[in-house]
Amino acid sequence: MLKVTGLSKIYDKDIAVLEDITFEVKRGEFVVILGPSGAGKTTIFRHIWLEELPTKGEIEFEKLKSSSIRKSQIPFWRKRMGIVFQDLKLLNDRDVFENVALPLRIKGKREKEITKKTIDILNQLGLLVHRSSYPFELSAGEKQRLALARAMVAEPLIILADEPTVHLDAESASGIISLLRDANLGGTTILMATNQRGLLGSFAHRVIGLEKGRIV
Amino acid sequence: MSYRYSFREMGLSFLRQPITFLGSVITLALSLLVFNTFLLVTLSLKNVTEEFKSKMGIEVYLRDDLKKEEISAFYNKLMGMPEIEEVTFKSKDEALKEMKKFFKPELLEGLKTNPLPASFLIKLKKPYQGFADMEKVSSKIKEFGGVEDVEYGGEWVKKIDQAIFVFLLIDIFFGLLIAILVMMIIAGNVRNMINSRVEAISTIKLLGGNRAFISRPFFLQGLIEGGLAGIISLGLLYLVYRIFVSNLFKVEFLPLDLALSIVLSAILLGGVGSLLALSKHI
Repeated sequence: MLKVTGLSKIYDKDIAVLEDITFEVKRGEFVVILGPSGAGKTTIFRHIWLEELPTKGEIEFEKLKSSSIRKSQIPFWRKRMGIVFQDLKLLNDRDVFENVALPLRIKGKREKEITKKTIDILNQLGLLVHRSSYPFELSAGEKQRLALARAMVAEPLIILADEPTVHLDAESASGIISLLRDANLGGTTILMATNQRGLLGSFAHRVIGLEKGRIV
Repeated sequence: MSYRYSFREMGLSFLRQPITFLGSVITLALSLLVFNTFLLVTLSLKNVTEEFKSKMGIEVYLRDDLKKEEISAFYNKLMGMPEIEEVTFKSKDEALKEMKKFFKPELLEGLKTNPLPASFLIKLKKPYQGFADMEKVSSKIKEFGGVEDVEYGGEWVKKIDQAIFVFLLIDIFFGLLIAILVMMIIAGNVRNMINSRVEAISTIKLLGGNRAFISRPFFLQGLIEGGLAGIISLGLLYLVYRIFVSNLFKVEFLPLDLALSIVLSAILLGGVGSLLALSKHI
């Protein structure tokens, strides 16, 4: 489903942020990238959702390759992913419902379907009571769940969760992990990055260690 | 494609920056008002002069030696010309009678014979009332034979046609100038709206929103601003017309089809303006 081959990223002055990263995520897997802050986890994700292009190497996602993809195909590539950004990127000018409904609107779904799916996921993640609140009115844990709801609502092929538990207390963090695990048990492929070794339980099929831009 | 979403996003962007939006619409409406005013002046001038021109005709003075049959044949020839709408015959006696209305009887006492010629008064059909056609028809009639002289208000018609042409040039000049101004204002306004939403746009892109999805609310914004400005400018012009113009002059307001064209053009310019901004900033 997702294949990263020989991914290297060199910024100015020959600073290599990523070096020869190769891994594969198969359909239905729950894969964790584990590494300390600054190891390059977020940079890998930015390459996966094509916010950046590799200096060397390639990313392949569902038969499309980063080296040959046309600019007009990038939205199609991203639409099939559900992303939980490290900084969440919630839109503060619209309420919880509209934040979650956005991926469905991007996919061009009908209003009836948008309402149903959004309410279902808000209900599932315990956010229905906040449907008319704005993101800035929520607690850190609720914001994280909101970001997860937005990533899950359009039933993506894969969820990319970049440090989804960062800044959360242990209880909230474990709540987020169990929501991801439930999604995985429901058939969704998950690729998650974290620096919290303690979060790794039996749910991860594979753990990829990352240090200073290299797989260890 | 969720058009409801695009309309709501557009509505929200108006609510987020209402002063920018209102300021822009009012500026646009005032710019369009300048153009509409010129258009109304030109149109009124054209209507007045067309009425004047329709009353002007060609007068053909006949030679005294023409017989009744020859005059009748002349009349038939005139009626056969495609440019002519109406022909009225004025006999020598009728011409003298008319003359007597303008002069004191003692001034005409010395006349032993009637010196005035018989004549035909010709009214041309509407499309042929311009200077060039009057000149062409007059030359044709002179070639008929039996004509003493042909008179028409050639110079007058020429001057009126030239004046209307100058006004039309002014309209075109202002029209182009204001069209560019309207597009620039709308492009600038859309650019500001885009700049104020850079982060949201970047997030929507990362979530898979394509160019059309992101651009549509801004494009609609341009259309709506243009349309509103067009409607408001016509409303303002109508107010000015009702309060000041219609009481003093016999001038008609812009016809409905022209008013609709102004609104449609403003919508179109709004669309082009927003596309200009979108092509650079999205």
